[in-house]
Amino acid sequence: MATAVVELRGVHKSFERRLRSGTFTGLLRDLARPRRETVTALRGIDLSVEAGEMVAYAGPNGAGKSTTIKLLAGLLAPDAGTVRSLGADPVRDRVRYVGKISVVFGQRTELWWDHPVAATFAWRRAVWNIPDAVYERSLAFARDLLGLDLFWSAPARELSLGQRMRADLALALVGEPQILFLDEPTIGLDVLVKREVLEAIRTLNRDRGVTVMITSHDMPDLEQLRARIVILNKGAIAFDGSFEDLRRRLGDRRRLVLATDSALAPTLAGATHLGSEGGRHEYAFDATATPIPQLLAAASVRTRLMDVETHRAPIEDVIADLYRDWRGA
Amino acid sequence: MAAETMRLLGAGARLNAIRILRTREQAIAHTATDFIWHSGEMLAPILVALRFGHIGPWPLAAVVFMLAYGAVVSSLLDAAGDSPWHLSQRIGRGQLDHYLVQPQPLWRIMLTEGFTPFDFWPVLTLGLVLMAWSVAQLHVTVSPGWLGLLGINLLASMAVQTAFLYSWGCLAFWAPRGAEEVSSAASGLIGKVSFPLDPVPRALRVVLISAVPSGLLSWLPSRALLHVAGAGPIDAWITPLAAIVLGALALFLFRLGLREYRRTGSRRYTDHGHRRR
Repeated sequence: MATAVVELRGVHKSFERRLRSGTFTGLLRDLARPRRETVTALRGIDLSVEAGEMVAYAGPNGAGKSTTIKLLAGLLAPDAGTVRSLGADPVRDRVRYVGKISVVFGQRTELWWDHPVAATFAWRRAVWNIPDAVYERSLAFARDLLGLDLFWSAPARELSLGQRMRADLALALVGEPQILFLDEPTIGLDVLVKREVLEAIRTLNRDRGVTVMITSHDMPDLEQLRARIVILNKGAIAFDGSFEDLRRRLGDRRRLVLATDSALAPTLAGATHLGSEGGRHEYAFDATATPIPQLLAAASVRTRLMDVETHRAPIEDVIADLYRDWRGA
Repeated sequence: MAAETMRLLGAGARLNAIRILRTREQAIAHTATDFIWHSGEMLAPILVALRFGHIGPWPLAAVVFMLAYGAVVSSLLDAAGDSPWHLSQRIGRGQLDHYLVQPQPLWRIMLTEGFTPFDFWPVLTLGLVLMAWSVAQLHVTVSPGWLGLLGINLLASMAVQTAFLYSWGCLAFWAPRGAEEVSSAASGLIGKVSFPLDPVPRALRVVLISAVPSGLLSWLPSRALLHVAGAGPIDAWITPLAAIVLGALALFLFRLGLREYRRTGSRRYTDHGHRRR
């Protein structure tokens, strides 16, 4: 039977924000009588993550993704509800607990800025009190997986963003944590480095059984990880399942590209014309509502077809529609 | 517990050595500039005492002792880590998160991170040599009891300065942006006292050993240890007592602030100033 390593039950978290006026009299008024508003980051989150699972945590800006990671890393305490991870309360049992997990924040580095990359690893070995055998084994694995040899002796400040992220991720793997929390680990990376980092995360989860919880705005990245996806909206879980389930739930959104001998795009019922380039016309449609043969039959009546392509809509388009719906709701 | 702390101090010392010994030229320049800078700081009061033979009731050797005491305190504090000087920045910029994800008690992280024993040994050596010279000149009876009292006062002076900086630095828990630089400002306020404070008006002297306890960093302990200007044996316990009171205040404020940090977190992470040593 699978064991839950992360358990959030009825978790609420809100923050107070001070409002400021843009006018001089408003500023004086705010000084005398400060105005505050409450921003609810999480409202009653229930979530379980099992050992060895990979969970992608997604949602629009301000949905509560980073707040959840901070709660699980022991950086924040919930206002209400319980947070348990590896059987511990991340805040109360902080010292014992954080030795078993690793956290990587994409916009921060754990590397000592003026020191060679190797020095930070030696420092981590001391602070995390990692036994020699575990250190050697995990370091060899991480160095190989993320290709650190090229810049192992270079000072952190001289690394490119991609190298820095690889080093930070490798650092998180040293000591063989049971859970890896990754907050936007691919932010700002170029396509190639991003692919390498994602592949490393996948290998880690698949081959080593490390539980991974990752947040990102980049939906194709998350889909590439073949993770369970949890989507937050306004502090509540709006979807929890696989990417296939998500696509099914939102309809089988597809793209149709017709190559014709005319620059004029034919009008097709049940499909939205997205754009044309010469004789190539692109449409979006929902294959469950409008079957492909029906569209092709309609198209062949209106124009002379030279070629036809159909493929799934990119996941970010699917999610963008979802976010738009939520914003309108 | 002590072994674990020593192990982490060792890790800090290794990082410090890597930085200082990057090149031979850097190592020499670093050491020489530190030495010249701190010697220069001491020079003015020594020259005044040399010219007149004393400053108020303080003979030249006692002035040198006071300056040497201050140098030892500041070098040991500097070597022990940089968290007191940058606490408000760490809090204000959200960098306390880096401490909280380390599997060590916060006090140990703050005590050991930024440990730089190779940076400040020239000043420490200078301070110890001058202290030994002045003690010999003043014919002080160096008994184990006196050495113990000296050690307690040195630790107490360090604790007073740390507690003062921490107490102010904790403001950043409640005003992360407004109080971000308060630690640096507070360290300017409690700077080293270069001249004996005996001629200073009494009211101001009280301020300088209470609200802004600069006088506890070298003047009052030296006065008590050397029995200058009629100082009695009880005076040697003022600084340790102040260290306990200020330490308790700093601990109270830090715990209160940390609870606030756990509640609100930080929404303005910036990497400036994180791990620059």
